[in-house]
Amino acid sequence: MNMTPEPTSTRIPQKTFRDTGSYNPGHLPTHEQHERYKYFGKAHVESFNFMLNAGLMRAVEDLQPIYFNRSPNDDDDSNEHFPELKFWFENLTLAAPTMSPAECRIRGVNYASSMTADLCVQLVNYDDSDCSMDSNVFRMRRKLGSMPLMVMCDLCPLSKCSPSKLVQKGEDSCEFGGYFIINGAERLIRLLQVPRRNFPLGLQRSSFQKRGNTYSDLGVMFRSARYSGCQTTTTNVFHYLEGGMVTIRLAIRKQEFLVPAYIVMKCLLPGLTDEQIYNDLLSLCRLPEHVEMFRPYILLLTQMCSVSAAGTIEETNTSSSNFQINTQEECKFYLGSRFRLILQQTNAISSDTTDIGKLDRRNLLDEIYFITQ
Amino acid sequence: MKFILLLNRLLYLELADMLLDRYILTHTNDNKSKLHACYLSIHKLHSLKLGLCKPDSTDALSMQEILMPGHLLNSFMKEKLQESLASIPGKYNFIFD
Repeated sequence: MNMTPEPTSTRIPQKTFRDTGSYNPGHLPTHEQHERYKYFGKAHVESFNFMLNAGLMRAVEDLQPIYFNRSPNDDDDSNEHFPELKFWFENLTLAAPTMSPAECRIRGVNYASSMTADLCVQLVNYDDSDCSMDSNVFRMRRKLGSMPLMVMCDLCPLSKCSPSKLVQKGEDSCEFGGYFIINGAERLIRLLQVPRRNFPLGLQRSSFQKRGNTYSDLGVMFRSARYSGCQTTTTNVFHYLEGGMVTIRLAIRKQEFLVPAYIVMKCLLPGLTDEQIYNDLLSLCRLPEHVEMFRPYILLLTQMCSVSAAGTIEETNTSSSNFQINTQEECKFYLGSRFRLILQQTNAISSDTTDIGKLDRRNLLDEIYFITQ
Repeated sequence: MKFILLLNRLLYLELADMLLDRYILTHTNDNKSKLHACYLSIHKLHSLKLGLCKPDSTDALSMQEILMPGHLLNSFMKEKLQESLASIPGKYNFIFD
């Protein structure tokens, strides 16, 4: 029997997580150490904090307001002018979470906070000159469902806790957060590698050739992050076609479209001439010997584009085969008429709502939710 | 009838502006900058065609960035908010019917 007696002073008594009285403080990380632990989750936590403090606000401001008219389709009676309803969101706020992360884990629920926003409705009457007046705006505070919260984000009460306080709340003393609690399980959004933003990326891919008959394998990808700072990105690819034409690929709600670059460029500035495009593109050549190399391609681009754009019009618009697109307005009219159906969301959405008839008018606005899992 | 045509024309012009603003080179809201970004991309495309520059390697770290969880979630939330906003007219339709 040479068992050494356990030193009674360092033994931690078995306690439940709510009982904190005699936890040995020697086992806890110091404040400095805890700050260093937090670096593990810093990329996650700080990007989430960005979303809470600025990102969501910018996203809500950047949303496209929805206009709703009683007759959204171009019916026969459309010259009778109905006032339009305009809908948009304002003041999106997230409440503090009601449960602690430890409780969420034990109960097997989401660590989330409820999200509310002002749903604003305005009657827009185009016959009225001062339709932009703020007076006839109705604001309704609406719940938008719950939003998963990241552990240790600014809204999380754990973010301001010292190690001993963390233990008191049933967390690990070295907790650094950065994950979500979904149905009681800890889940992480992995960091993803994506192409660099706001930079023309030259690519050679055989898949580009499958886009169409004359498509080459060359393309320039431009992934641009939205100017409003809400971190939404769109990707455009400039395709080179054998014969000198360039098309821009864009995606609208996961559908891809190809538009001649010529038309897009013409839309951008009023009174932009072919000659100006030619000169501007030529002026990008830094070396004088390059000018002669680039010249045929640029010439081809400005010539081919106007020809092929006219060709596209002829193919698709049978009624007006001698339709010219040269000016900015004509190009815009062309683009707008091509993309009308996909861009007018009201027409696209209203057809697939089936079980709406069951709601009554009073509960209507309470039903406007969306659910995040 | 002329009025309706005019109205349609205005509508189409507005839609084109929306298309340019939301789906083409959205890093800037200035049309002139957009045009210059177009020029730059087309110049690079022609350089690729002429063999003056090599295609960029997408595996190189300099051509990549990290998509942060907060940023991913933020754009997801924006999409969802836009969808819920777009679903409102459908829910209102039956009132008028």
